[in-house]
Amino acid sequence: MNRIDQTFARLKRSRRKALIGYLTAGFPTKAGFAHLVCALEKAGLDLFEIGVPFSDPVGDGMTIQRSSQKALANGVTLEWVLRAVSALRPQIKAPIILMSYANPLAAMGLQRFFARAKAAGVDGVIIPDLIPEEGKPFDQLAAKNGIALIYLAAPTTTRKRLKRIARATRGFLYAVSLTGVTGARKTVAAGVPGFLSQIRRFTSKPVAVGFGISTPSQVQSVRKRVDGVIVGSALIDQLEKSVQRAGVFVASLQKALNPQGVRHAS
Amino acid sequence: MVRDFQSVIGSEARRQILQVEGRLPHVLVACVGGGSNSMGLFHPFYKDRSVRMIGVEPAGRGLRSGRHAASLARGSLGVFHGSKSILLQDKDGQVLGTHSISAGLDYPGVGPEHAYYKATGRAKYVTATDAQALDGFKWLCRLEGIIPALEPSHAIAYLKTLARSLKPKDIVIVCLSGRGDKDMPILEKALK
Repeated sequence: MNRIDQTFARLKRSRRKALIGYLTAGFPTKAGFAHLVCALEKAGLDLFEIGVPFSDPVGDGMTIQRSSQKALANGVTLEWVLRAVSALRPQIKAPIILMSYANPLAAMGLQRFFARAKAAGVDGVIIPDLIPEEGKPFDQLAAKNGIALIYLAAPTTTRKRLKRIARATRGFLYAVSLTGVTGARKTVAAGVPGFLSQIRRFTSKPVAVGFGISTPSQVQSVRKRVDGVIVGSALIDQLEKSVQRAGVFVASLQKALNPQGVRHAS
Repeated sequence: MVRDFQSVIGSEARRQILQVEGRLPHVLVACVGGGSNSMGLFHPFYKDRSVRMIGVEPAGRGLRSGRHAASLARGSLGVFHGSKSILLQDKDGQVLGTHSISAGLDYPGVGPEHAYYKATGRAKYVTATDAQALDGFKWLCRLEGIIPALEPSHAIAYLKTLARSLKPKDIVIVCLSGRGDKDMPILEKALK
């Protein structure tokens, strides 16, 4: 059983929701990255989504564009990310999901990438610019290497495609809360509850919501409808201030997500 | 989708040339950045096997300078802006910065249908530098009194080379994809 499945199953047994944090690999620094991940696991992250920086992150807003540019300037490559994950794997218990646009993976070669990801201890991969219609070679290689390939659905996804995405996704289904790019928003879009219950009709797999979720009160407002919440830009915003601030922020989200308290990290 | 909307260019060109000349053109020439105007011209002629197609990419300050946007000339297979096509990228799959004197051609990728036309040999792709485009610009202004945009000035520039292999009665259609009024500030600096 994949570590992501195990994590969702364990959390479900204790009636908890998963807090998934997005970090851009090698941001703010390469040297401090491993320490940052360990600190944020302690602070309350249940799963990590680690972004491979890309020159043209079409799904991302200003914050992640900035962190990606900084990471690229720091010299972060897919090669570096895989080595970093490999070193991190024994240090944390949380699943590690790589988020990468398709092109850096294609440049490495899909076969080579998935084999290397498996060897490094990667549990899942999110490819925001991969559509399920083109997913077959990715699906097969991911399955062969025991890696969950996680697909995204948006509020504009038609029922027919939602069905297809629900069938294809592994680990969980990534529900994009809005029509637009990543980035902190003041409120959760009005249609989100309806969208999330629509997704539930198509799948019994875990559902995690992301894009625009940036405050404890937003987390509170969606928690009952999902199995997990993904926070990216808002976390990067805090990281731009300090690791400590990011830790305090993660703890506040974890508290909002699981108000019943007591979290066991394993 | 872009191709379908832009194909009004080629559909009208094809109808009009048949009306006026009663025969198909020998060559189509158009500039290629992302490739919309050129594919709009080319596509309706796809099945007319006698019609040669030439796409002119921006070589900027020269292909060797690295300061260009000639994706088909210097790119490789990748996934960018939602398509699998040819793009300018480094070994890690990061998309490279580009340069062209014309903003409209300053793009590191190219529509996938052009990659297909190139791979199958249906169209031929060449390049023109910034300097050649400026020459093409001046040439059309003086000969025809038409002020072309800097994008199609690349296509016009290639006519000088192409003309040497043509007979006087041959018909060439060049896509003048835009007018040069918008480029005056750039031209003022470049032609000083």
